[in-house]
Amino acid sequence: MTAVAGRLSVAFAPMPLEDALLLRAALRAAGVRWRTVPVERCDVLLGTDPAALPRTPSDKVIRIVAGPRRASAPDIRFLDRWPHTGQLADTIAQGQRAANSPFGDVARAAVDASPTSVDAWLAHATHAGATGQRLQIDGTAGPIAWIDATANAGWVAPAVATALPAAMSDAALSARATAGEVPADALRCSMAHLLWAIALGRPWAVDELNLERHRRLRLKRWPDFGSLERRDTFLRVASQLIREPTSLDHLLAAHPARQADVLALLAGCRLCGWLDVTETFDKDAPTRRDAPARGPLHAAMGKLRRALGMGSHG
Amino acid sequence: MTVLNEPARPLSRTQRYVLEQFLQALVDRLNGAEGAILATADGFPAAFSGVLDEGMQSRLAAVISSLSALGEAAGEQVAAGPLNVVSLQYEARQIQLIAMRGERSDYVLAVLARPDLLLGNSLWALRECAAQIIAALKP
Amino acid sequence: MNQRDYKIVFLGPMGAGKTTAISAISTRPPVATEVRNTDLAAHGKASTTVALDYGEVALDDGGTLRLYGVPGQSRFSFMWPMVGKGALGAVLLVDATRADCLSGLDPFLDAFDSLFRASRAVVGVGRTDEPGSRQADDVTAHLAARGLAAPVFSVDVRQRDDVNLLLDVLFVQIEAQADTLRMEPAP
Repeated sequence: MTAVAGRLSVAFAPMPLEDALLLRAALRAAGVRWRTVPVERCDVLLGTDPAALPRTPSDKVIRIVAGPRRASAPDIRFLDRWPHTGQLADTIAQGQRAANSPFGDVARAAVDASPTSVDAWLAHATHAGATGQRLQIDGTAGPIAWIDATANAGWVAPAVATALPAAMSDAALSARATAGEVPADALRCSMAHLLWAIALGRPWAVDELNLERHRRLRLKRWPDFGSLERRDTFLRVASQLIREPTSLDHLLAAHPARQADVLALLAGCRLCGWLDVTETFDKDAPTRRDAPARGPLHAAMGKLRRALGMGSHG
Repeated sequence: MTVLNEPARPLSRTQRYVLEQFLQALVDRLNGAEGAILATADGFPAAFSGVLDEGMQSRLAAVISSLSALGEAAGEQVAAGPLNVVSLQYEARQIQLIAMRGERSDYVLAVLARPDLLLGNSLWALRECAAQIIAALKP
Repeated sequence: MNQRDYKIVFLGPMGAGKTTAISAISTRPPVATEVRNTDLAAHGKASTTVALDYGEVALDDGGTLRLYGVPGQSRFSFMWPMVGKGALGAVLLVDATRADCLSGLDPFLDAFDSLFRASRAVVGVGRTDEPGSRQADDVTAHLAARGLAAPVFSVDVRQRDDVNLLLDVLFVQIEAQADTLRMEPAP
């Protein structure tokens, strides 16, 4: 018997018909009393793609995505075992309990502060998006940028457009949700562009990445280094993380002279939702490695780089 | 190089018919020729005479345009001047192609023949056919 | 080919920038086989490559980095295996403003599937800053739908630095493969 309380008003985000039928069947099988309503009046919003979840008028709406957990969506609950639907009713019940808790949802906390960790930035952005607002990032001299997490869009103040990562290193940086309009002269950019600037704008401490040190990480895709700023080591670390899941500790040990770059890359990839946290751990503690022995292939690549006028890779 | 001046309009049905007659005459004249093809320099078939199917005609048109362009590029490397002829001798066949370059339209004319056809005969017939094509396509 | 020589092949539909990319980094003016384009309905470009592009970069040991560009139109696809034979890696270029931007990649992904699956290919997407154009993310998704995961970057191949970026990540991928082969198996 389901622990879901009362009769639910459920909205379905755009999704394949077969997925919608599966979710409806799961609700019936769990004995949930429910009816389908438009998004504007729902208690529960079901979807299969976090990016396709529409805005809800209230941040008390329980947002559930049928699919694997995404680190960049803290205010969404995931059905990790999809297409198995046995956890749907329990997930709804958990959402109901959280919504009625006197402490509320962490993401609903009013924010008007300087985020100090990746999770804090993500919470700020998603809170703003969930409440139909934009996240405004302010510096000493005024607004720097705006993020619309729902529309995957960003804007940057013209004064800082050509020095964006540096602007994000402002000591007085703060972020707040705002329903106000973006100034007409703000320059449009992608949300990833801004999140990347946040990542590269300041040095990161390991704890601020909110990653377990021994859990293996995998990059889901290459960052577009054609449009995103890159540093020495970024290409190499990205290539490694795509090919083979590696823990934070092992990455830092593999690049002892470039740890700041490694942390900046991971912060950027976490903020942009490109980093997968796997279920596996490194069994061995990392050992500090000397630079790997260079074989003939490395020598050949070095020769090609020199001929093309590129810098060498450390 | 055979010079050709005509507008870069698509060939009309009449023009294609006339061209096919010229190509047929080329094949008939040459004892040992199996087919002839006129292709645009960018690889589209313009006219054909012979026994190849439409698919093969299209592929052959693309191939001979590439050959002509490679021949032109080779000549540039050694300052040889514009390309005239490319001759390919195989075990079972031979192909000769002639570049026809104009103000707005470029073509490649090629003949496909048995290996025993004398090269001189083939080239002479190709040049004569090219001249006929020029005369026919002038406005 | 001399043992000290290396070959990289540039792929992509007509107008994607293969000839331009090779020109941006070639030590000498590249060999081109461009002729007038008579099919302006298919593409408005005045000229088209009908055989190959060829450029080269001198190496400090006397060898040569040979840069080959394939003709982009499918009727010249017979040239692709010949031009691509023995290539160290491939650079696939695409014009993000084309309506067939994504589907136009498929013939090249098919023909050079082995290079892509061996992580020896990178993709450069041009003109992503023009209104209504596709983005690098769209190309990434298209590759992912085909089970491929090559690096995809927004580039302007008129800029030498952007062409170098594509080649740099190609080299990084090749080095990463070599490192993986030399490493002990993960526990």
